[in-house]
Amino acid sequence: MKSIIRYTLALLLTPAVFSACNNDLDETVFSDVTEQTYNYKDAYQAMGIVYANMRNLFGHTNFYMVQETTSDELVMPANPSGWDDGGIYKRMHLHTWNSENPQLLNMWNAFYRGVINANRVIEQLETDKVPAPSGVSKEALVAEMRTARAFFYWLICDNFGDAPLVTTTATDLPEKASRRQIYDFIVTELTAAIPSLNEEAGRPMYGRFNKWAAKALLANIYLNAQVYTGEAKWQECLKECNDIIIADKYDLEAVFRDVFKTQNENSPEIVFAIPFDENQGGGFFVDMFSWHGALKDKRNMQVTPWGSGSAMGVSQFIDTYDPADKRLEDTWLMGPQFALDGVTPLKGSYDDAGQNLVFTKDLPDGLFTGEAEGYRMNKFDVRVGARFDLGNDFPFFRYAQVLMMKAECLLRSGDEDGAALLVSEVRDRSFTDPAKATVTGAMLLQNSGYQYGFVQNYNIVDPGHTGAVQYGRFMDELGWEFAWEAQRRRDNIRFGVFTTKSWLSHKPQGTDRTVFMIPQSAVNSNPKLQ
Amino acid sequence: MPLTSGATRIFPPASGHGSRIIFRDVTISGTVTDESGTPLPGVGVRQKGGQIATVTGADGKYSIRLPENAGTLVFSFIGYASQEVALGNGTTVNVTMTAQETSLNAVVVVGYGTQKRERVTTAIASVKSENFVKGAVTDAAQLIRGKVAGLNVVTTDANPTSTAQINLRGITTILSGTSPLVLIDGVPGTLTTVAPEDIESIDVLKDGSAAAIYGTRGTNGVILITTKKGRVASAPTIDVNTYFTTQHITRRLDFMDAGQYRQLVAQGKPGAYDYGANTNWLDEVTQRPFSQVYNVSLKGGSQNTSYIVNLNYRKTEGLIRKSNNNILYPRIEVNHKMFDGKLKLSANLGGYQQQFFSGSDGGSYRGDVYRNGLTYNPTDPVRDADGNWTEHTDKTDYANPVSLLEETQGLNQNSNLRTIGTITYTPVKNLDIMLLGSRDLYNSVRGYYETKRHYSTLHDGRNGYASRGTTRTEENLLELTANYDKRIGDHDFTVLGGYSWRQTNYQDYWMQNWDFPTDDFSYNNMGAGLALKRGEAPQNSYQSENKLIGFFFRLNYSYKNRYLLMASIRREGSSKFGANNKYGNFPAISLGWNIANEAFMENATFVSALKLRGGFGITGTEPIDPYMSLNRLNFDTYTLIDGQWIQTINPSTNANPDLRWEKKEETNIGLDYGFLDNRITGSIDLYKRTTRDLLLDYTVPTPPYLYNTIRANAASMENKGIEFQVNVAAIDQKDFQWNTSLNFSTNKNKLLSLSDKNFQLASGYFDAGTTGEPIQQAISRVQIGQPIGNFWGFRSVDIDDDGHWIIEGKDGNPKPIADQQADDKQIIGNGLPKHYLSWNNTLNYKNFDLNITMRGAFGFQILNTARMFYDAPVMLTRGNLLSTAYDNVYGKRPLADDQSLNYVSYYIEDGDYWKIDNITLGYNFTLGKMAIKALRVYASGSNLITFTGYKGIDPEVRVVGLTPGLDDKNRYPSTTTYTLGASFTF
Repeated sequence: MKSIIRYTLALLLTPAVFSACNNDLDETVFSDVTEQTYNYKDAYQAMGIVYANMRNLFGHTNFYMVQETTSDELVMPANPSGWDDGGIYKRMHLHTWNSENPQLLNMWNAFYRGVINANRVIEQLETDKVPAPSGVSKEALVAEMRTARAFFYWLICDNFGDAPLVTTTATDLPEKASRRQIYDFIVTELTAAIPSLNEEAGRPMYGRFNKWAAKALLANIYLNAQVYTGEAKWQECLKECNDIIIADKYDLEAVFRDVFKTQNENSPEIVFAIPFDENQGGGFFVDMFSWHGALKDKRNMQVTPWGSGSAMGVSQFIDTYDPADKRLEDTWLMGPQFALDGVTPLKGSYDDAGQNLVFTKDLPDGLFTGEAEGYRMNKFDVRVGARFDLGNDFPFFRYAQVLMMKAECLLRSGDEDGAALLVSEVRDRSFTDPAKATVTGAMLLQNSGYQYGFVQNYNIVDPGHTGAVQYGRFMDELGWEFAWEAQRRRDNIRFGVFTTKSWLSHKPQGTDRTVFMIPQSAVNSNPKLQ
Repeated sequence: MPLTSGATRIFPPASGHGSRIIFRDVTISGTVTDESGTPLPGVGVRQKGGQIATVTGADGKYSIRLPENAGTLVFSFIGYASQEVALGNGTTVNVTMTAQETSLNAVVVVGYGTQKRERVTTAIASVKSENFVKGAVTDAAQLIRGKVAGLNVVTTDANPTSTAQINLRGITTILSGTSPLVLIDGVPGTLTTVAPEDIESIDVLKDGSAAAIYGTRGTNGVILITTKKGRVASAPTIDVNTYFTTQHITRRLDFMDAGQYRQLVAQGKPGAYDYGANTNWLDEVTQRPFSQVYNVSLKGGSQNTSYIVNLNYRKTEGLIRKSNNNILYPRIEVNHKMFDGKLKLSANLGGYQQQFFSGSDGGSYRGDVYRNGLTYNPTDPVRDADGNWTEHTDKTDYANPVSLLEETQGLNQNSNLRTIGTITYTPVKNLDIMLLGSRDLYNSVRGYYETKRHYSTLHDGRNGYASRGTTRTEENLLELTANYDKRIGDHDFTVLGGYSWRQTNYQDYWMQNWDFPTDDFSYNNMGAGLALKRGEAPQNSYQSENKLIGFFFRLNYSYKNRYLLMASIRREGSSKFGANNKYGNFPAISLGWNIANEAFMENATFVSALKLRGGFGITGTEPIDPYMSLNRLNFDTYTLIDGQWIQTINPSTNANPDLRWEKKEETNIGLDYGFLDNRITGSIDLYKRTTRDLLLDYTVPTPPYLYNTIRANAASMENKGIEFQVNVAAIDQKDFQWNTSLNFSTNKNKLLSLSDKNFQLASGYFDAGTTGEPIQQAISRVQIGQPIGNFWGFRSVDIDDDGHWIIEGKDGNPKPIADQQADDKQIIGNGLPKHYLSWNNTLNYKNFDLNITMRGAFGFQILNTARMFYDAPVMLTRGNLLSTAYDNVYGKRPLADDQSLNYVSYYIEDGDYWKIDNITLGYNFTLGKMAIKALRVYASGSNLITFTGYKGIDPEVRVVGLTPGLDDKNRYPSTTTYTLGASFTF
């Protein structure tokens, strides 16, 4: 009897334990796929992430506002609703940023994320892990990705100067390359890639690098070559601009604001867009950090802008506009604000609690303002019923910019009258009186109209450096046309203003401010970058 | 089982005194067992008032010859309560001995078994139900608060759904959470898996050598909860235990009332605006809660079968209106033995059914309800003249708190079913083979709705927002263990071997929708909203699985009960680990010396127990998340191709195939003592624990890595400390007893390294936590050579003539706050208490009993975020302020109206506190022969009085994580609780 029980139990227990329990410790994945097992079918799905990465550049602590608020155009002061955030915005204006400013790390990560994804996709395309769709050559897709990678390297070269130049998927810690090496790499890559690129403009290539977008990129790099290498490339820039103009694929919009409207995709003026979508392509929400919360009712928005907003025009910059220039009101939100019905006044809720909200131009300084001070963003249309993410595509390169790049090359090469024709062409749509739209070569040779100087309590108390800005009037033209388009820092640097002039609370902080230091946390994790 | 030689002398064998017997003798025999039915050898059996005595044999059997009508037999055994049995006509007397709780010789629960306290060589604390904290408790940890040195149980808020925070011997891990492993009757669970009233004892494995048998889960200690059991051969008993509680807020922060606020309006202060009403917003969102708890148990047993049925119902209300928690805990356990005790079966069915108001999407409490209750303008009415909630949605972080409560509908319903079965087979004497199988099933169904009058519609245009979610987890456990006891002369061996297999499956679905045609659906018609149709609202489902497999072995050896040895090893693998590191080994060894049992101590009669012990053990911590070692891809990011938004393929994380367990090495040296016949007992423990391969989201360089963090094992940390415990039976009279105990612990934490060969953090630090908008600074710095919990900010030293902060620059000189640079920051405090002290007193006078628990924490600072945000005039533009906001700073002048908020040392306060935590007064009725066998009534107060210099609500703030000492301005307030209760036994 005993032994029967014993055996029965042994029989019951042992197999129950060892057969029921699977001792395999490999992980079963349910809601993910893994690189090892996934079978790539659609090349565009693989390539798409590189373009999607570009949307990361437009937050309030990333590339977009860095380009604007370190310049003489925009400022993000604190106000009673907040916006101090440990002084991170203020330091951009003051040029006292340090290696721990989050904007630097955010830019760095966004740029290199694009580079690393491009490196991987290029390898996947080259090794046929990702097959090209029928009718499209592998070479064209690889060329497109190399161009996209060059785009990110241009932003790295422009913002950081010396930085790692990584072109493979190897995970060894990289060393720094010189700004010159990165510049040469970009030019070589683009020169090699351009012949293989698709020449089509319009919907299929919208938001992607076709030949003309790549040439616009290369033109921008040549335009700033003197800054990057000390060696000007005006003729090379001119050639790329001329190629785009001669190809006749793009045109100026008749109405300036149409470039920036919510449904601006496929605009004939846009050469390279970073497409945004309210649902699927979020990342553009300039209204959230420029607008006052009360403006929710101005456009019946579904969200409320943060506090009383912060990103606003430097009053001295606003003062440069010709009052007849329609771009003043097309770019800046000013004066009394009303609900969508156009009659109900909007109210303040912080230091102007209960009073009508009226945006005023003048700022006491660049550090702390009232809730209604400063002109706000009006360039990109905020549609009625807007959500957090706007659907306006960002026109990174547009035809007007190609014309202005060409004009600048002509101006700097001694053909100021040729330049004036192009500038007048761009200005034309923004003036009711055609005579007002026309500029002459002589005007473009004038100093800037910007009243530079250090401001305290609404007044310039110290003019600082007062020397003339060469081609200053042309720089003003760039400002009026391209405000809020992430170009002002580059233009300020190229025209020699960035580290010499004072504006608002900003005073020159030394010539090393033309590039940002490598963010501290990047150096910490890779000591080779020290 | 050895009986000490002294005991033998006291109770010589009956046969030696046979000649004295003059009456007719009878022979009484029987078996003495412990509560689990295991025979107890060496139990003294003695005639009451007489000289005749014997001891039980190895099988627990005894036989004693007594004169007729000898009266009463007394059974006594060290570690057990003595029992007296009046002799009747029968000649068989079987006795079940009950373990005594406070004695050094009690049985303690160790991993996979029990052990005599006397034999324990590791740091284990055991608390029996008689010594639990009395009064209203919501989870198991609160039962033993202040009872175990080194185990710090902190209740940071009074949310009826939250559980206590536990910190055992400091912070030993950075990422993986600091909760100990909780096992209920051997099966993993949580502190709320069983009703507190259904718990018989709680044992805490504190040191590495004790916890190593649990391998990768043992690092933060192990809490072993034993539920109440029925007893064999006992009459059915019904116990009813019920209590009622009410609460009030511990301290109200002194925000301005409408009158004070109007003075600011009169002064034209920026942001002040008079809406004409007088509203006390805190009163509007709080209530006087009333809670009820009922526990009914039926237990009993026949000769071979015992059972317990326990039903516990708790209906709890919280201080914040609508917050509640209703739980029903049913549990049935049956134990049965057969084939002469060779086969034992146990079945245990338990779990809970819980539901509570869901005040935030998926959670119980929306953090800004209380905070808006403080900061909403006191001149604003709750509703405007049209009956609408007053709202000012363009103000940041500012919502009518009453509306947040009233316009929210939410219900979370959770259920848990635990099915546990064990078969124990004893093929030969002293060999137990046990198979344990369990399935722990958890289901949660959640519904949440914000009406069209809620802030989410006014501020974010939701037009009615609903969300639903459900979660299912299933945890299957199978364990096979074999335990063998052997005694050869003076040598005692216990050998344990086992195999453990655990698989956890987790599934979760949720969806959100908004833009509903009507509020009438609440969350019950998800399809009626438009946002999902438009592709705006998200929905999600997820499933994951992981497995843990362990093999373990343990040897206990004792020589003459003087020299003790324990050696164990667990080899364990987890599927969460990388392919290169699936298995790890976790060995432990400990030694003990029972000095009191040595011959040379015979004359030191005041020493009743003295044991020196020392141990070393390695334990692990497994990563929380599965799949971290795999290269996963997602499709969450879209891009525009040919006019269509298509899904892109995007790597999810940086994968780490080398991912492995955290490894903690711990050395523990302890001394257990008992003096004056154990009137004074206690222990002292010294430990040093070093955790290596700490898991951390490591900053890695981008490039070459896509993301700049990777989960990796590279850091190491050290904790050193002393624990001291003394229990004194100060007064032990017939009518009056006073037992008092003191627990003290101190801990020193230091981060040793943040790098290994693969991952370096050249800076030697990283920052943790955030102050939130509009300060946006990290709170703490985790730095090599420093303890966890350092507050890292600007040291404010003065205020300038304009009312702006002056801080200490990095060169030590004062500078204006406007010129702040990141490297001006310094360590401005530490939030982790260095010392804990608790003092427990139990007084019994006749039928009265009085328990007083006091405890405190010392040597730490608190970041008072309520003051950091609302003790500054600039925030007047965003709502109400503390009435001290315009007081002079540094005795000079108030802060300027335009001084932006800053994280400065001015808001770091000393947190030291001493609490009279619990006072319970009870009365036991003397009952004659009534249906009710016992009746006790009691009144209790918890969190009664706090002595502290801290200005916030309660200095008892978080003690876990990387930002301990942070007093969140959005906290659920803490409360003082009053309880009235009664228990009946039928």
